[in-house]
Amino acid sequence: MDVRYGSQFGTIQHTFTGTADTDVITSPSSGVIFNQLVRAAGTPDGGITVSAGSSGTLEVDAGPDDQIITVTASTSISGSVQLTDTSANVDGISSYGAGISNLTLRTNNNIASTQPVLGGTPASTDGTLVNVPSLVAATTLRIYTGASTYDLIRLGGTETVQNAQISTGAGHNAVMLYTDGDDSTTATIDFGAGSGSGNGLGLGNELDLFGGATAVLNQIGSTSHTVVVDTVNVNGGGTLDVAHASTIGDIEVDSLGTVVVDAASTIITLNNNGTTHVQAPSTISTLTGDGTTEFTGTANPSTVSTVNAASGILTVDSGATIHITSDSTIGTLNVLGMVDLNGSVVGTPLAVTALTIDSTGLLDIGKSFL
Amino acid sequence: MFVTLSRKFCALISNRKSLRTEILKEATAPMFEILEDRRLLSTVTFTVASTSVNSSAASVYLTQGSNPK
Repeated sequence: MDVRYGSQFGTIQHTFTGTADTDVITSPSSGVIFNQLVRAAGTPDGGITVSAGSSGTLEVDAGPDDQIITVTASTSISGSVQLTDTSANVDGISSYGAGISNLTLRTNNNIASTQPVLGGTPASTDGTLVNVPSLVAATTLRIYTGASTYDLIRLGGTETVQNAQISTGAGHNAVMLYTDGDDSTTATIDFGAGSGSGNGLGLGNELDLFGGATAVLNQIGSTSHTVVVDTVNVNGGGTLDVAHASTIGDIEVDSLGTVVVDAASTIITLNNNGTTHVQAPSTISTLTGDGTTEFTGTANPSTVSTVNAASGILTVDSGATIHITSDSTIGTLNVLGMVDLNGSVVGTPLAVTALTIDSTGLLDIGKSFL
Repeated sequence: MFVTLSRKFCALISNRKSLRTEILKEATAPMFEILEDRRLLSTVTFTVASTSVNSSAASVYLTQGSNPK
């Protein structure tokens, strides 16, 4: 293993030669970055160990054959990352000691055709599995999948991972957030700008939340873009916060799930069986499900093309105007702001089982009928 | 960036426009840039295989060598 300063192409400062050794590089300084670019098969049997004075970073980049990245240990003063080359059945361990408070993981930019299965051995055609079952809160985790496709990122489960940042989205990449049952895994995720044509959807990226995990969709980095993701599943008490302008193909919310739309967004299908708060002007093509959907005053104006929620509750708060443009069915409609069908096709029916119009509310059915 | 000065100190400098300007200029200087510059200008000591080496770079790259491991 070679050691270079400042650049991976810089002058070699030292070469480690012992194949069974543990190669140790330390610095007493603050803020230093250790970039570990050695693939699993090239890592000495005793692994690589780094440490720093404070606020150091260990970045581990997977090699072309490294299809599994696992954080195998994490304490307030140490931890380890394992790269696995499944074709050669070889592991490489990178350990860190005191002074490393930032951990960055990069997958290998491989264009795959299938997604790895949790707990299984990735096939040669699979993307990379990034598994971080537990991480102490003092360590900041960043994950980048670059051009890789069919990668699977799994955070939490054994314990939790907090405030992770994930940049992904080249295609068919999935992020799964789990919790340990007593506290929440949290992550900010940027799925990128999408396909670059039309509404950007179609790359097949997916976000799955389980057991109280919280995901924030947001832009990571300075390149301005709308965050595009095809599918989001909010399961078992999970929370999705759309904090940046986003385009989402399908959001499936189960009875314990919560969605908060804090930035102007476009959602093709929202199947809400839990609770959704729309707090920024948004466009929803189809709203279904038995849950409660609230448009707050800051969501003014928003458009829902079709509501098909015969047992659902739709509340439009004071200050909000919601345009409904096609045939719709709503279980309970609470109007404190304005619901407007005036722009819909003449004769568009709105079927409501229970209707409440507050003193501040207005229901304008135009040339449609109720 | 807002700077809070005590009332007594404000009274002291109220008639010293140039001094006040200098103080405010210092107080509003971007702290992050100063720290960042210092870090980049400083020499970092890395210890590699028990040998200390000074480097002006704040990063180390571990790359695949000619050896198998």
